[in-house]
Amino acid sequence: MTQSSAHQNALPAEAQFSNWCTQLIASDKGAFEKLFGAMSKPLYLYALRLTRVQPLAEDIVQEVFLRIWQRRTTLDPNRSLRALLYVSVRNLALSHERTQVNRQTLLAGMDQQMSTPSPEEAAWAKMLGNHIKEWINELPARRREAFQLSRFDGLGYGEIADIMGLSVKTVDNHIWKALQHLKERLAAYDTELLRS
Amino acid sequence: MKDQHTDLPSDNQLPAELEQRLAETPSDERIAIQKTWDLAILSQYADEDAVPDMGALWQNLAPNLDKELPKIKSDRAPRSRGRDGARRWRSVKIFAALATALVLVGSWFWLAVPQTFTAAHGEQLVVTLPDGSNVELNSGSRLEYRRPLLGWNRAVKLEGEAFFDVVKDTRQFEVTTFNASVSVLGTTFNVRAWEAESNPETAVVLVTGVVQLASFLAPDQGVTLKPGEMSRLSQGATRPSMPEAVNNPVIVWREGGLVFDELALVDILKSLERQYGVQVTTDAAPGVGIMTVFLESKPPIETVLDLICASMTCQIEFGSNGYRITLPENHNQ
Repeated sequence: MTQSSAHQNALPAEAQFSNWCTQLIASDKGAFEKLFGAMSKPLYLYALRLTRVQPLAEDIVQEVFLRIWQRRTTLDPNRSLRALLYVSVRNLALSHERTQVNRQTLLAGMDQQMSTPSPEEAAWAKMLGNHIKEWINELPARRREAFQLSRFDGLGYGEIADIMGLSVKTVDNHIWKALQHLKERLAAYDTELLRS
Repeated sequence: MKDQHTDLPSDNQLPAELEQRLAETPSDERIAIQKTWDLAILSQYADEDAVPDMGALWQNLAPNLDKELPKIKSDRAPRSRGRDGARRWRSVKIFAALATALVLVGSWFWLAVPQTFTAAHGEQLVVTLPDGSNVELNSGSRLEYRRPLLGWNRAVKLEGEAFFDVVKDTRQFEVTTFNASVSVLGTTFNVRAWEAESNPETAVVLVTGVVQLASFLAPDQGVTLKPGEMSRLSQGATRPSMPEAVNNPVIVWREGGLVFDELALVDILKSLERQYGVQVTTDAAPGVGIMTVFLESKPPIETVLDLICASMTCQIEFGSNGYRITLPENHNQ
């Protein structure tokens, strides 16, 4: 399987998910592999944002896909498969996080290592990207999560509300306030960035 | 991939709700927000470099796909052990004794005061409801219902944890907890709802049939569970979590086991007090020391406490007030 080289525009459309869902119910392994190919990366990134531990994020992605396949016949084509994938990642990630708290195995420095740009890729976008990442990390955890699901994963407000157990109104507020925060940081960094 | 870092991605489509907000925003501000939205994707690239080889992950996963799914323990399996039979018989006797006593009390009392059952600490209790449905109460749990007047409305109130085996009927059967209602027609399911815990929630695991879980705050925004799924509703939340499959629906307590699913130390100790009928105190703050414990049988209380303390390096003392668990200082910020 080759890794998709495109970024945001590689994300499959909603209709594609209900197709996959129907095919999965019919035990179509080819469709499952396509689903894995399209979604393993965004789900891995989501798991990584929640856990900040790379091997754990990999395990979570595997576990989620394994469960989906094992329970394929009980999938409901009327429920969003995409939301189900995200909510499964979320539940696993949060339960790991909670059980890890007292074992003190938190990997310090993981974050730093991830945000250090490699020298050959020190383009302006990369640098700005790292700044924006820091600014996003300043947001309260739930607001950050809602914003990232919207911006990076292309999920609708309704789906985010389902995944996080919030109302659509709250999701709307989180994303609006997240944008306000980022806008202020960007303006302070370089006002030119926000002009047309 | 590198060349794309210098360009903004082509797909910067805004969510419909955001478009709507922007339509009501002055133009300078609107452009600034739009630019912010566009630029925000750049931060994702920092993470994308850290993505491992998903092809290898697939190679790992593929051979495991057709392994058997762990079976949900069927609750319909005959309960053969004599201990259960005796317990059930004792419960029937308790029920009979209670019923006889109550008949002697005046009829106003009969109608006005709800029927309540409480499983003592260290005990479990089976209650048979007027419609023939069975409820197994876990230690320290309390069940309450109105006596039938003209037919029974199939509504009960639960504080704590219980397993329900509901007789099929055209009328709805409803369980209410401190924050939620669970409505069914005829199914088997487990409800866990301890209001006094650090993170109070109602958690429902469905074994057979169909149930609906909804918050009191938004009765129309409930979720429907299918067999093998669990949903949780935190205190103050309006919507239950989206139902998710549980590999092993945790109704271990019915089989004589002990299970704590991501509970804080104080809540685990409270549960142990209920299960063993002992006293356990601690200096741990609420929410501290969250852990998962899964034991298929119930060892002596000391063994359980040793197990817990081994993972947290806490100290156990035994005095006239029962057990006392003391945390090392750095654990209790």
